[in-house]
Amino acid sequence: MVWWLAAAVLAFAIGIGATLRPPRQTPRVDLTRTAWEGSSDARSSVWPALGAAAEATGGSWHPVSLDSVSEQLSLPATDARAWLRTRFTLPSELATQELFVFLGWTYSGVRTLYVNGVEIASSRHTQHLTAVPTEDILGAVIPRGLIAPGENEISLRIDYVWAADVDLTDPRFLLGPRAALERFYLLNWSLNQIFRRGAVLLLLGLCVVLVALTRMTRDPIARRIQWTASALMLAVVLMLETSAGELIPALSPNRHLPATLTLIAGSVAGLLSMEFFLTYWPAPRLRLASRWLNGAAALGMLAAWMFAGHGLVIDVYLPYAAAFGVLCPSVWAVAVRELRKSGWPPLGTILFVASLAYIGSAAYELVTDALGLPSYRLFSYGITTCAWLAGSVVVAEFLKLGQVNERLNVELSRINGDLQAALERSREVERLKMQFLASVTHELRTPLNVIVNVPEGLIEDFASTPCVRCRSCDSRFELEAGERADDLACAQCGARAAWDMASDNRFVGDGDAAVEALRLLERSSKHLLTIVDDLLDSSRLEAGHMQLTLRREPLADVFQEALQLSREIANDGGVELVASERLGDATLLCDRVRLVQIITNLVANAVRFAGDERRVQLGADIESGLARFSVKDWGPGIHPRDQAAIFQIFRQIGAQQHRGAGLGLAIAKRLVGLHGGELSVESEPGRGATFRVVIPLQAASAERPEDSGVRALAEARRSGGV
Amino acid sequence: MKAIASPPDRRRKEGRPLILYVEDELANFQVAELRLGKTYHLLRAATSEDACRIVRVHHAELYAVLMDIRLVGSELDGVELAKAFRGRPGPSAPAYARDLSLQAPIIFVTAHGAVLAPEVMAAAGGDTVLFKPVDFIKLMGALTEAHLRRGRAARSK
Repeated sequence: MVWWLAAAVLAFAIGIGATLRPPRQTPRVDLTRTAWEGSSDARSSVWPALGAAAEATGGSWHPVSLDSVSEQLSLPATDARAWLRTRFTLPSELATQELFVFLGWTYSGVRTLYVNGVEIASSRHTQHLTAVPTEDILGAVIPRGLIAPGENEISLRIDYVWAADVDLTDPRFLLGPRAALERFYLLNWSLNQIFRRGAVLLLLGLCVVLVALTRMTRDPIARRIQWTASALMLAVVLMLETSAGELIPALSPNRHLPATLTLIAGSVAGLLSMEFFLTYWPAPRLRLASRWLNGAAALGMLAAWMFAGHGLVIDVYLPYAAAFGVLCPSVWAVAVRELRKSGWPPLGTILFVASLAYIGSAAYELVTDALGLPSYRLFSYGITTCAWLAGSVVVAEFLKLGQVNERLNVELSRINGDLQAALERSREVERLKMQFLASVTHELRTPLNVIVNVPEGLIEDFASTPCVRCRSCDSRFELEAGERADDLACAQCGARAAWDMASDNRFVGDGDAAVEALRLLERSSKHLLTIVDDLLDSSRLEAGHMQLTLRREPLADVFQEALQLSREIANDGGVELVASERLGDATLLCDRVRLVQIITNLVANAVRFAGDERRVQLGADIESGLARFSVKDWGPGIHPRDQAAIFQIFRQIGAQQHRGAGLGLAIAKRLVGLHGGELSVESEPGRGATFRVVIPLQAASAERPEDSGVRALAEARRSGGV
Repeated sequence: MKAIASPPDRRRKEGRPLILYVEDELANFQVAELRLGKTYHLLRAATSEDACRIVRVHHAELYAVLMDIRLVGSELDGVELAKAFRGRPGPSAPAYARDLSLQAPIIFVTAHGAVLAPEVMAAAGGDTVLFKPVDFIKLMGALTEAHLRRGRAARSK
């Protein structure tokens, strides 16, 4: 298909090139003698009936065929003039009659008919460069008295607009009694009109059908194709009528252009319809051969038309018809079978009927040309064009189907891609969850290990001695060997035989170690609490349920509180904390606990990743209405590609290498957002990292307006907090 | 001024079997010391390098090795380290982990329950895996059992 389209484009380019070719100056040609001599008895048998009529009247007039003339006129000549002259002897009984001259079919010239030197008819001589109606001169009546019995002369002068436009393949030149010829002329004329108008009507009808189909079609591609087909058909109608000069006498300043465009449009449509028919061709090799054949024929004809003789325009279609005539029986059979199978669908039926018309017209033209019968070219023009257009409609339908298919495929693969991406995302989420779960449980196990084991270990440091306890006064006594409690009275209150079994626990272990262990237990419990708090916070933040308790706080106070906690964190981590603060007496509407949490989370993160430097720097100041906190470490740093990921919940870069559930930064980021500020990081791998918190003292915007915390902030500010 | 009687020194190792605990988290070691300190003398190694150094010096007297698997800040994890102790360091193991030989039982103590399959543990030369939070009664049982097994194995040879 691509090759066909390429060939069509090439043809179009060549055609346009030929069209724009400037007219060449060539000498005037007088072909009188040749024409006369060459065509004196040419094909006298062409019209046997008329010939017989002529014989019967005793005249010696003959049909004149200009075939031999046209061969010579196909020399590229501009402004050429040709004379056709014939002498005839008029029988005396016809001398009183009006005679009818039937010129048959001539094209593209300005013709003037002379009888004995008197002009009796002329085609309308409007302008040289406009279309010239041929009908005017198809038949002409020679007035009585103009012709005498005996020798007469009848001449046809043809002034060619361009020699390029000379089409004299089928002119007929007949003289006879009006009664005999007029009927023939009228029949000719009417058939011509019927065929042409029929073709035009058919095309217009198809346009209407297509437009109606377009209105019913929802698919945009199908609509486009149908609109295109309609436009193409309308264009062909226009071309037909333009070249015929009926509806629009002079649409184009260059007469050659419409013919070229018609030819090319017809060729493209023809190739498309051939291609469609070939899809039904059962043998692939034959199909291939016929494609080559058709392609070569099309290009050859174009070349012939362009370079050899312009009279060949009409004949462009004939080899097609011939080729199709060879192909058609089996194609037709296959088409019928296919149509029957699918229950005669509308488009298929249109195509079928059109193909019949196509075959018929092709056969008609082959036969008439072979026999030299008058052939109504517009019939083949119109009908074959219809057939081709119908074919191209079906091809367009196929193309449309293909396109729809392709679009569906594209859509499908897009959806597949989306699904794949979604699957990947969900796998990633799953992986993150598992990783998160692993790191959370790992993180929980260390404090739990302490919490479970320290009490157990301490209990072991207690020595337990069995004893009895008085029920009334709670005093405890150790029994001597052999004593029975039931026999004894309480030494304290005197109650008798009112004893419970009890035990006396004494710490016998290492007190320092025990205190150390208890401190460890305390730290671990707090650590556990922190982890649980972080988990809760992050789940609240994720769900957007975090509530801030907003108050106007002096920033220096908040910072001191955060600093104190940060020092503890730094001490635990064996890291030196360097702090500097220039907050003055600035205040901020904030949640004090959360602000402290933000800072301590950042410090904890920095301590965790402090690296060999074992130093973390914490700073705070006010700069142009912004409260700024910064936490700097000299650790491994964060690769730029990871800098966005570190603020995601459940995410920890290099999770296997570091402790923590990976929540601290994510929580801090969101908390800063709730305060209408921004948390950012500057880092280079190997050169540490600086986390910066910037919160406007008069915050107006927030990270996520739908957060309740932000709503609370906004409400607090509206109600006069700021 | 009244002198406070010193408690028995836990750091004195005489008479108590020597156990190496490879653990990056101090708290876990402290707990182990609290629970095992009366019976055993515990040495701590926070990194794989420390651990290798201790094994190189004390491999003959070590009663057992307790081994955490995830070792933050170490080049080798617990499993690789165990292989190195058994004289089978991985191809990329650092120099300090080469040419070690340890006969004492290795008991993995880990939070990574699912990660360490028994065959992996055995291939690494480990005897048992225990999970955190550690059950120290079980741990002592495991220590005894490992020694009995090794004793039997040695005798049967």
